[in-house]
Amino acid sequence: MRKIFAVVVLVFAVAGYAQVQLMLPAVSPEDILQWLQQSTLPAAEKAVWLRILPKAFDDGLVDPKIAQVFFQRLVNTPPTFIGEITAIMQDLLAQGLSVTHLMNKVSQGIIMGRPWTVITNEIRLRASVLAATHANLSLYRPMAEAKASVRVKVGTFEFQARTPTWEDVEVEIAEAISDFIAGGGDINDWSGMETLIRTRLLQLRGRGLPSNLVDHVLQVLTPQLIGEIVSQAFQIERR
Amino acid sequence: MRFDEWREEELIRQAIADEITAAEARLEGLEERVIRALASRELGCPVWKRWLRSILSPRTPALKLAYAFAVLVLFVGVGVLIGRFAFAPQPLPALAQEGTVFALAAPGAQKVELVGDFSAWKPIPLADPDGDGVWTLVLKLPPGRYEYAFLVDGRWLGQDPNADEYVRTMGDYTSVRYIGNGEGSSS
Repeated sequence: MRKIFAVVVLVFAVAGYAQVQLMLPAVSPEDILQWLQQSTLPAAEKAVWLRILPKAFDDGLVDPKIAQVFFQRLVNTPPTFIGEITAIMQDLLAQGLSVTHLMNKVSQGIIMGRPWTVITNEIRLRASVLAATHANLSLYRPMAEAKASVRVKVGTFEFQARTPTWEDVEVEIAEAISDFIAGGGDINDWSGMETLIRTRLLQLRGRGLPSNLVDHVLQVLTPQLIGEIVSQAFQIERR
Repeated sequence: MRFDEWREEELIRQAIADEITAAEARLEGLEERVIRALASRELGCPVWKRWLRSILSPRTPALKLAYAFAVLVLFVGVGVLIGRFAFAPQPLPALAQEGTVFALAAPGAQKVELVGDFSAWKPIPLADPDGDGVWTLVLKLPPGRYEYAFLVDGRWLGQDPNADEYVRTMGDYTSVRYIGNGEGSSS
């Protein structure tokens, strides 16, 4: 009896200590899914998100913290906008591409008070460029590069620890091209785009992106490659 | 018995009685003193040896409820304290503390907020405690590239003079900061 009591005391003590340590303000994928289930999102879009999100969370394509704010804002927008944004994101997720930064961009557009059509057009542009960037750059993915995303589960608490990967490099390049075009740059100025990409990647080298991945992509980056990406993104027939 | 013999015996008895009376004070509590001395030290054994023997000697495990409860309270107490100091929301750090400083001169503004991709574009209030019109906020951000803007009384202000660069998004400017020590040029 005394032994049992001792074990119980020990378990309680350790559990109490562990719970305190894990009291972090984190949002779990399950929280998001549960919130979505009870949200006023249109039924069709709700069904889509509930179907695709669990795998997207598992694959690290959606950050729960960004997604939470995105959905909280999306739910208060017109149904047409919700439908268009959902379709764009669904398409990217089906290709295995991260949409976290695009969810963030939607939140930005909403806080800026931009018209729905402006936000939709910008998201569509960025999505097209991302898909084309991935299609062209995946050929150059380093052989040794591996996904460094790991899911850690301690009791009921779950979090995702990840280091930047090749996909993050692709996102940075796609975003640089998109910023160049959205900022009014000439769609045919591939050298200008390449310069912007190089500048940004060098800025991020070792402080957001691994140096070896940056060095690797800088070796293969050419205006011609950028031209391929842009042409594919906007379905321009190249001569 | 002759008188001289009787006298001699009487003197001996008297001498013994006097001796006993004299020693009585010293004998008082002798038994207790002996027991105490035996309990406090084992004769001929060094202190370290006795300590080691007491540690290594087999014992029957016994749990005292009071001790167990005290350990439990101590464990939980330490855990709560660590949790409170290490993980509770911290107050806004002062300028002297380590972090990225976001500052904006907006005299006359009622409210200045920071929005950025690091907060999913949720507004974070800046403070102007001395009322000089310079609003500040210090944020600890991991290394990377961050896009942000200020909201001055709800109005978008995307060009921070302290930004590293600007991008044009959805028809307006957004500021950019690079945080951390980059490795600059490629090898």
